[in-house]
Amino acid sequence: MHYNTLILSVVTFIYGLAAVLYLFSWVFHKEAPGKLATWVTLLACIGNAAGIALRWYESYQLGGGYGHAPLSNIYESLTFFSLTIGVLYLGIERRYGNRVIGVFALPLAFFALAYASFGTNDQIQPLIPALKSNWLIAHVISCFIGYAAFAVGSGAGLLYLLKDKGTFNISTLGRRLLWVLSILIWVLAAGALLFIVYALFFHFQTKMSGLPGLSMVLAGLKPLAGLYIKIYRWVGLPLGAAFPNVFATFLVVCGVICALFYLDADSAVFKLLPELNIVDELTHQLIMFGFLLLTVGIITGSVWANSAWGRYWGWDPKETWSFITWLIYAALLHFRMMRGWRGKRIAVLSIVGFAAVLFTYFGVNLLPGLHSYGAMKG
Amino acid sequence: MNKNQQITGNYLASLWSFFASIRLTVVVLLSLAALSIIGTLIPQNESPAQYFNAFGPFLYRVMEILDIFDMYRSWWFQSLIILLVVNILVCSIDRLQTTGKIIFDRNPKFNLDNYRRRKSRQDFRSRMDPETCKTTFHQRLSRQFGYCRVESVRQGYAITAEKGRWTRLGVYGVHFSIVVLLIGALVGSMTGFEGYVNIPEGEATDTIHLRFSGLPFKLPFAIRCEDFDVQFYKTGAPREFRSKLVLLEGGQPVLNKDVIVNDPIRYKGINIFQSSYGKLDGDNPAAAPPKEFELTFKSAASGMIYSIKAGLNQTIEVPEGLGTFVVDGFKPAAQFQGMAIGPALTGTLTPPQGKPQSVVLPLKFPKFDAMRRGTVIIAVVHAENPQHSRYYTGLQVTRDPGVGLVYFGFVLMILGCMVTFFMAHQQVVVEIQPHGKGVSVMVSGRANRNKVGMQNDLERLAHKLAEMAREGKE
Ligand code: HEM
Repeated sequence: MHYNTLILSVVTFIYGLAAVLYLFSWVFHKEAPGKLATWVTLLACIGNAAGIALRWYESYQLGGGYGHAPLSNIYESLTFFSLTIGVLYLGIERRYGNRVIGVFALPLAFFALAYASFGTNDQIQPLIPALKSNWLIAHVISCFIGYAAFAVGSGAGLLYLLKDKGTFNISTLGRRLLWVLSILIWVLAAGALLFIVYALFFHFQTKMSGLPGLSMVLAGLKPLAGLYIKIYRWVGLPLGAAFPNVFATFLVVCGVICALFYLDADSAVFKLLPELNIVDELTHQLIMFGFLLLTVGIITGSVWANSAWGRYWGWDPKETWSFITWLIYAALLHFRMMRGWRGKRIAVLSIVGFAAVLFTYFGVNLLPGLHSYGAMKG
Repeated sequence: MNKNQQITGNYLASLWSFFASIRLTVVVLLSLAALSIIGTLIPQNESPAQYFNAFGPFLYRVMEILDIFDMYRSWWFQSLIILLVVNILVCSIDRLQTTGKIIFDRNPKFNLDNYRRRKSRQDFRSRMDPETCKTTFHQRLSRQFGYCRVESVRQGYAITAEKGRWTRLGVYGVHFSIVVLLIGALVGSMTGFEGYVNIPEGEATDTIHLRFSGLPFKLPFAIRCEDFDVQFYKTGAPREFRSKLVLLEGGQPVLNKDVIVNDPIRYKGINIFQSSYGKLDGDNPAAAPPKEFELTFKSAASGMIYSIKAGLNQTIEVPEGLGTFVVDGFKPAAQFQGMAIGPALTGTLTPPQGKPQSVVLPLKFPKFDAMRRGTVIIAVVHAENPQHSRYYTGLQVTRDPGVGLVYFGFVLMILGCMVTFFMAHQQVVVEIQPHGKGVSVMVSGRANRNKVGMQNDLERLAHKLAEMAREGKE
């Protein structure tokens, strides 16, 4: 019985709650839920850090050489990722005094942890010899802080596109179509979210049976989740444990965007968004920060490879994809120096860059004939 | 003649500005990114036969000609990288002059009107007289800024100050680091090698096989593997493998060291890494059956797993009253429905009621028996072989004289990025004009980057100065 996974499952809900509060505060222009959201996020970050620390401790409790810093597999790196997003976001909120970015940042932390909790193996696994290296720890930490900066940066990019008036030049018909589309997407997303909540509670129950009230919640959620499963089977969509997560993230983002496009450019919702040049500056700052950490991450990974296999670069697909990501962000930094390339185009590129980050992390395993995360090479 | 020169001049100038342009940079960077994807979709450096089978004769020929199977070393990929280097060099030379002028300027010009017009300017008033004010502020500013000077303006003074000129060089550090890195990589690929060798315990060799070509390569010394040892976790995953190596020169031992993964031997510029291991008999199992083995019985009803040690033809009571089990045979190369499943034990399971069933337990596939869907799932976790099996150690042997340069490039790149991203060349103007009985003060400034940071710094400075003026008055 490991308590770290239990704590991290609970933290998932707290991040989810914070995300909902941020959204609520933004859409209904209420200050109170926003303030509450900040505290809830802080609580989630503390819980997240405690979960990671506890996992570290528990790995040593296991004996048999299992003990290691919890940064060695997908589960562990995702828990670290969500912590970094949370902390980074709180820093930005403090500095820029605006809570709207939370609407885009917190769902990422929520989905990262939800995916970790039931899409991946959360057992503490012993380290294979190649992974026993301090360079690896430095590598994972800096890569993931970098990824978190890029994640929040893409959120800021999205904000920019929303705020930018030029984006909203669409006809009334288009507006209506978008309205219908966004309702459709939200219905689907609601199903997927429900399923995630159900799966998380279920995960909870298997972790700690007999938690009072839990079985009631589960019993309540079950018919709804069952309906969701039926619909998805019927439509023929895959239903692996990880699928609803990725799918729901996608849908929620689409849903928010479509819903916002429906609104008028001078609707009050947009008034709360920070000024365009501030968002642009924020995006740039985050991308510089992320670029530095990605650079450090690639370099420490390279030094690690040189100490484990005697070569610092081997064009392995994972390496190559991190290089591609790095190139995209390098290009982005230079685009800013060309006339007319600030603002909107940079915002779009920050989203493209983050897509490359996601592919580096999740997609590479789908490529033909490769080794998975941290597998023995050479 | 003259005209001709001009045309050549124009031509050269436009060529120069082409190579200095950032437009070219983004095109090259994004092209590199896009083309790099190919090599992640098509596995690199496999055997030609595999490619031939996968793509058919025509596509194979086309891709072969384009070096798709070894694309990161292909002429077109390398040309793009060279183009990037030329771009970096030309661009740096192009700008270095301007930057140099700014950095080495003894009398930087501050256009006061520009500073007065800035939105970010901060103003405050004080009862202090202009002279004291000037000296106090000048002292304060010269502590914080490397360059600081006072001029008389109208009836008052302007203190101009700046710092961090040199941070403008950070970006040159980043760009130059890429050139250094690539030179390091070039040195490595021209003068280094990368190979592997398998050495059985107790044997020595001085010949390795090169990566990619597979050609034999003679080392200036021989490597002897005295002993190899591997430890496992409870899960069966390897925990550590360690080779006791001795390096021999002319038959004489010169170095004695254990290598484990992540802790190589480095000797005379050659590195020896522990990379893999294996059993000498490999997949060919011993013909003799194991003397003793450990089995696990998982009850389908309770999910409990029981582990029991036994020998051949020994009757085992299956826990939870699920019957008896006897291992009655061993097949070195067993088959199941036409599939080779490697060495396996065969046994008979007799449930309390019902007929005895025969069961196959492959040593390599512990989950195999789950397919039977019986009341108990049996697996072999450990089978003691009568002979002690001999291991070989798999070593990676490399020499890369370029690594120093590459690491220097790494450090330069990180430092350059830190300077570029988080530091700035800041210029500040504090203007003091008499106002009534005291002074009115303007604090304004600008930075070449990080405007938000500059804004915060200015506010802090103005706040500090206002405080000093108030205290100085009392
Ligand atoms: C892989 C290649 C390259 C990398 C990693 C790189 C990296 C960087 C970085 C990190 C910056 C600072 C960006 C910022 O201030 O936001 C920068 C700025 C710049 N880069 Fe590059 N660069 C590369 C290639 C080039 C090339 C080929 C050129 C040639 C035109 C170039 C021209 C510039 C210029 C003009 C600046 C602006 C300098 C300034 O702020 O004064 N870069 N580069």
